[in-house]
Amino acid sequence: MTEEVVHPKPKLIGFADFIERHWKPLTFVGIILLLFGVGVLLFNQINTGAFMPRDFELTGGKQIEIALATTPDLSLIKSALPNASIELISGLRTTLLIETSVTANETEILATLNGLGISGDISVRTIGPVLGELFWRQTQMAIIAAFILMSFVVFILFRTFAPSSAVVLCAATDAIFALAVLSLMGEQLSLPVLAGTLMLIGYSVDTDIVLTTELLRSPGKEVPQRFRAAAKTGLTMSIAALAALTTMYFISGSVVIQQISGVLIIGLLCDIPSTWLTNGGILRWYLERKAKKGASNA
Amino acid sequence: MLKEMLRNWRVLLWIFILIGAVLAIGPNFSPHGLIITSKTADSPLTALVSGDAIYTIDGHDATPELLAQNYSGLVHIGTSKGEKFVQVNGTLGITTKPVPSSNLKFGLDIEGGIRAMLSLNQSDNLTLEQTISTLQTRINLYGLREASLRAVSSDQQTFIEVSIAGGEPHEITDLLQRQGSFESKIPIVVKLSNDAGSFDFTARHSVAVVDNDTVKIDNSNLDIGRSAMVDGINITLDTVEPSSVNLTALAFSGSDITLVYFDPQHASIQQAQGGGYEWQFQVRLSQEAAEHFAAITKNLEVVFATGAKQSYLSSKIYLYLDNDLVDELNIVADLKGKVIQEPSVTGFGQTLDEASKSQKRLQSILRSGALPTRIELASMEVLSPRLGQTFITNIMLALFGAMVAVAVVVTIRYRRLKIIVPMVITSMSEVLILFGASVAIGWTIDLASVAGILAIVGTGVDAQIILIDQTLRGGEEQITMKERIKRALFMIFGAGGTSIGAMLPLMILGFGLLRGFALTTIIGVIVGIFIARPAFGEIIKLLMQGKHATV
Repeated sequence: MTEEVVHPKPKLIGFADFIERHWKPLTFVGIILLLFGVGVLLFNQINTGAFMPRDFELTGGKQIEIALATTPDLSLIKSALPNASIELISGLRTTLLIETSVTANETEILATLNGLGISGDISVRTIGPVLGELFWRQTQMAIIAAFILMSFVVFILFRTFAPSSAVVLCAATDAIFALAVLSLMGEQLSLPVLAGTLMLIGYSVDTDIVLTTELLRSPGKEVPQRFRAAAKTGLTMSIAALAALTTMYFISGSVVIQQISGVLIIGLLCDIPSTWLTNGGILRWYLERKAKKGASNA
Repeated sequence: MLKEMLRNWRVLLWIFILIGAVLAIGPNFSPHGLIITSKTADSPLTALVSGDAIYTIDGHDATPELLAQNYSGLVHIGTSKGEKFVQVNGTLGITTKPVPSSNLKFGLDIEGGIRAMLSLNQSDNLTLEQTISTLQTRINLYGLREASLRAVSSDQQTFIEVSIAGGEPHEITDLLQRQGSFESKIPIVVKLSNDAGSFDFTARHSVAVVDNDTVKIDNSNLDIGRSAMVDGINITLDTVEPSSVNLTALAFSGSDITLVYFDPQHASIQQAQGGGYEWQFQVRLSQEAAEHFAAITKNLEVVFATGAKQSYLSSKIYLYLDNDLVDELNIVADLKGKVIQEPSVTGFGQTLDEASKSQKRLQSILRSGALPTRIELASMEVLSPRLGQTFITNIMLALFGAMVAVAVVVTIRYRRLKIIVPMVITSMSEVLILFGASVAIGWTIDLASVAGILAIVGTGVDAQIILIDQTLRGGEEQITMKERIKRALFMIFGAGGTSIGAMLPLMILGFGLLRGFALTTIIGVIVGIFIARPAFGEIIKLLMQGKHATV
């Protein structure tokens, strides 16, 4: 056959030998990431009453979006509008994002900006506190319901407790870790971040499904061989997705896309150790135990 | 090999659906003409409705400028319903937008417009229905283009979501948020002698001062700020002065108005003498209200205004909307004590446009009637169309960039054009089918849906990598190609199923931004796992078999 000649072995396989030797302690890498994420979110919850600071859509507020032709002096805008949070999103275009309270007068703000020579196409979005509160309740419900449904599908797929739980644990690690890192970076939870998180739950499970299917359903091969085959596919998937997301993050210049791809990038980076070390570790442990049981039964 | 592919039902299904999608999208590479988006109540184009296209006007290609002009006489209009000759006196009374370049419908955040969420103080079904229909009437009468209202319930809270393409935020706030309780009031001054006086309605009524804050009307006391019914007319005590008692009588309210006139005979705008524009329109009152007006004005004196060289009554009539004074008018002396069934309501605007808008706003609010409950603006989004369009361009570039990035990664890994080309084609086909599906089910593509499409391309690529790897794995496994593809499809279905599971709650719970995202992702995953990816699997299988055959 020609396959092995056509694609050279990826260099990561060298690293695979290391995993082969030390998979037991390496299993805890994902657990540590999970504990770290849970710790950060719990800290936020205790200190602020929410697991992550929320943006105007989830608390109520006003957002003014202005498409700019040139990059303005951010410090100048910040000193002119002390009561607003100012952010600049850059990519193929530059967008100025101003977030302020519901009661702020956008006409005054726009006049102030005009005085600084800043103008462009404008969108103003005002979300009342009642609606913000409602969105927030829905956000929490959506995350919980998404997890339950995703777990349900995984359990139907593999129909065994330990491997299915490992997949769900891995998805939870990715989502929690991504939100924790974002909150440490000073990002807020917004509807696009939520969308990204739910998307991440879907994405991160992909590699786990590849791994679990290969390990549990490939007849006639040794575990390390199956693991390598799965990793080859899974890492290509992750790298392709990361390449696409990173490109979008830098090109789009759109708040929505940057927030969605931001969550996914952090989550998918976390997904690599959580899938191949932790989920892989749990599966190996499960297979070893099953083999032992099989041997003692026989 | 191509023949073999075309004999495969999965590939055929995929091609068939792809063609269907392109037809549904219906790209129109040279769009011309304008589509009617709304018509005013008095538009002369009676044969045309919203959605009809206008191609020519008096032999010229239709442009927004031409359609906005004033016409008089017979106008020849080429439309999607054939040639029309219409008698016009004034404007055509329509708003239009260009004929779109495809059947795709884009959301407000891309096309631009205003989206508002209204929360109701009461939210039983009847109130909700009445509110929606009253608001719909107001918006239609006002002539705002492409407005849609729908009730959105969540968590026992009910909102009305209003989407309007175009319009100024302040006029829309005013139009929607007004409860619309209209009152016209006329002050009556009762002259006192020895702390006593009288006024006339259907009968004569005595007024006597009790103290600084109270008067006695006939036999009952009335405090300042309080109201009483006298001969069926609501009166309020304003002030008590040494020589007079000031009362305000309610001449008529919104519920007394039986008809609001919109036609040019009964509604007009004129240039005012001191600059600006004065508008007026007539309303028809119930017999009872007209008699009230007569009874109240009997008590007013005739005053000669030297400036206007005309006689007026000593009090003006004051018009209130939701307790805000909207206008005050002189009443000409002739009307004293007369039963007036069709009084005029007037107002003023600095510019013709402003005058016409405020006239129409009040007409619309009066005609639609008051809302059954108070409503509040829960959110208001004013979205720039250009911002949305540059967004789309940027997203398309980002999508293209992402595809290139994926192609690079895949090229490094597989180094075969035979794999990369079908992969890119499959990914693009998923996007096309998704767009086609949006037309088929009549859903509008908003920014969040576009983000959903990006996500779909990502999961699609993941699935293709799984398929390729399973297919390429040669004899190192004892199972057949068919079984390997089956295993790949198991993984792909599993991955798709979890994505759908993760998005389903959002689709059910959410509204606004995230619903579009969830819906797009779910449909995209379904298109991917049932149509595009199985076909891709077959194509790769056949291509690889071909490879083996040639090696």
